[in-house]
Amino acid sequence: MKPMLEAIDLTCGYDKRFLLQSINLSISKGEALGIIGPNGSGKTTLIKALTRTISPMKGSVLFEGKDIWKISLKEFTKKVAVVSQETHKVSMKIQDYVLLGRIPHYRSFQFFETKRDLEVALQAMKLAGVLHLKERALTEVSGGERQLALIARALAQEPRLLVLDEPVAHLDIGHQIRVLRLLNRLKDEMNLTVVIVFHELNLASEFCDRLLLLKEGKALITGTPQQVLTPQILKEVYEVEVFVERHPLSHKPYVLLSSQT
Amino acid sequence: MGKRLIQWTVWVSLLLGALVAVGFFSLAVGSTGFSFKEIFLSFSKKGSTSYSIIFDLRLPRILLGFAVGGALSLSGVMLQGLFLNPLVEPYTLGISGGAALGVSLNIALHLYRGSGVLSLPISGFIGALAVILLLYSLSTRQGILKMQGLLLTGVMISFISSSLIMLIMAVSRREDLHSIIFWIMGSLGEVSWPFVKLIGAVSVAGLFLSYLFAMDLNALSLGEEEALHLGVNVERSKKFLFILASLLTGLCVSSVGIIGFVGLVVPHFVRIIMGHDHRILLVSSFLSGAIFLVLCDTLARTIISPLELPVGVITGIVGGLLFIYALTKREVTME
Repeated sequence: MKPMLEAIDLTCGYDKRFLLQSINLSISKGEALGIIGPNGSGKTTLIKALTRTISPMKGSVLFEGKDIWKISLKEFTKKVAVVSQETHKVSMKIQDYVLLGRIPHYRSFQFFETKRDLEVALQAMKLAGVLHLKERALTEVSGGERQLALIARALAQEPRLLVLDEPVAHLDIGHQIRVLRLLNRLKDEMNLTVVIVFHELNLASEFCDRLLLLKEGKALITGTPQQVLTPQILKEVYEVEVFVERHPLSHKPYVLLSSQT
Repeated sequence: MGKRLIQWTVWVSLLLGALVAVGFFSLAVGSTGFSFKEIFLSFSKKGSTSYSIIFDLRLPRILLGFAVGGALSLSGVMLQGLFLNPLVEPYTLGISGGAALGVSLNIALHLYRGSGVLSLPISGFIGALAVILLLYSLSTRQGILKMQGLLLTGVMISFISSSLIMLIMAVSRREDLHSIIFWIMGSLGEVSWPFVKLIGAVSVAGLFLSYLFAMDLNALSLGEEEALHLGVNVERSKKFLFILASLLTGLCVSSVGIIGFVGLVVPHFVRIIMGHDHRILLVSSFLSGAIFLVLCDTLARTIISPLELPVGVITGIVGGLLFIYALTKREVTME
C-alpha cells in the first residue's frame, strides 16, 4: 500500500540555516507516529515542513504519492488538519471557532456556512466532548477544554491526516488522558492517521505505534517505542541516565528519571 | 445559520435606517433650518434658494461625509483585523502623513497656482501613494509581507512626515501656513458633485471588494499560520487588504484632510457590539462610520453657527470620550 505521508531526503530551515537534514520517513494510513526529541531538535520545524507551512530546501514531502507543493492549498487543507501549539486568545464563541474549520470546504464567493457545514461542526464538537460549551467563548474555558475545541476545529475540516504539535503540554493529567483517548478513538473508529509531537516520552510511548527521534535536526532512529526508548539511545540524545521499565498494562516502555547523581 | 442571518439582516437594516434618518436630519438643520416638508417640496423647485442650499451645499456634503466616514471606518476594521491590534487605525501607517506632506509641499511651493481645484487632492494622493509604495517595498522580504515591520515602519514614516510638515510650516509664509493648517484639520465643506460621486463610488466599491476577504479576515484573526492551515492564501489576502485599506485612506485624506478618530473608534465599538465575524463587521463599520462622521459634521457646522468648527475637533472629542467610556465599561480584548 502507498504510504499516506512520506518525506524523502527532506532538508529545510530558515534563512539558509538548516534545521532539518535529510529526513526520511513514511507513515501509512491509520498509523500514529510520534515525533520526539530534545528542545530545539527540529520537531516543530518538521511539522511545519510536513504541513506545507515552510517549503523544503532539498528533498520533498509526498501526500498520498503527490508532492504537497503541487497540491493546491485548499485541496491540501481539506485532507490535512493541523492543531498547532499556540493557544488562541480570541474571544470567539467555540461554535464559531469550530466552524472556521469548514473554510477549506467553502466554494468561492460562499459567505455563509451550509447546513452540512453546521452538521459537521456539531458532530466534531460532540466527538471532542465540547458540544455543551458551544456558546462559550474560547477565552472563557479552561486550557484543557480549549485544546479539545482546537481538535474539534481540526476535525471539522474532515481530514484524513491530523497533525498535532504538543497537544497535551500544559494540561493536567485528566485532560491529557481525555485528549489522548479522543485521538485513540479517532484513529480506531475513523481510521485517521495521526502525526503528533510529544515532549513527554511516556505519553508518546503509550499512544504511538512508531516514534521518530530527532537529534539536532537529524532523524536518529525511527521504530516502535520498544526500539527507540532504550537507556542507551536516550543517553545519547538527552545526555542523561534514565531507567526504562515496562508499563504494567500496555507493556510499553516507561522512562523513569532520577534526580540523584 | 438561519438565526444569525436574520440577526445580521436586522442589524444592517437598523443601521441603514439610521443612516437615512441622519441624512435627513443633517439636510434639515443648519444656519437655515428646513422642515421635512420643505425639503420634499424643494425637490421640485429648481433654482430656488432652498433648492440650492439643499442640493448644492448640504446634500453633496452629507454624501461626502457618508463616503469618507464609511471608507475610513472600513479601512480601520480591515487594518485592525490584519494586524490583530485594536490600536491600529488608517492613520497609524503614515499614509495620512504622506498625503499631508504632499499637500503642504504643494501649498508652500505654490504649485497649485494655475493647475485647477484638483491640484491639492492630487498632490495629497501622490504623497499617500508614495508612502504606500515605500511601506510595501520596505516590509516585503522574499515575497512575504512582514506585518510587524510594516507597522513599525509606518509609525516611523508618520513621525518623519509630521516633522517635515513642521519644517515646511516653519519656513512658509503666513497665508500659506494658514492654508496648510486648515487643510490638515480636515473639512467636508468644500465639495463639488463630480468629486462626491468619485469618492462615493470608490468607497462603495471598497466595501464590496473587502467582502471578497471577509472569511480570510476571520481566519486571520487566529494568526497567519492558523489561517494558512485553513487553506487561506495568507500572503495574497494580506497584500490585498493592506493595499485596499491604504488606497481608501489615501483617497479620503487627500480629498478632505485629516479627520481623525473615525477609523479607530467606530470599528472598535462595532467589534464590541457585533463580535468577531468580519462578515457583519465590515458592513456595520462602514455604515456606522458614515453615520458617525455626518453626525459630527452636522454638529461642527451648527454648534457655533454661522461659524464652523473643524469636524476633526468634534470627532476627536466625541470619539475620545466614547472610547474612554467604553474602556472603563468593559475590557476591550482583541488578541
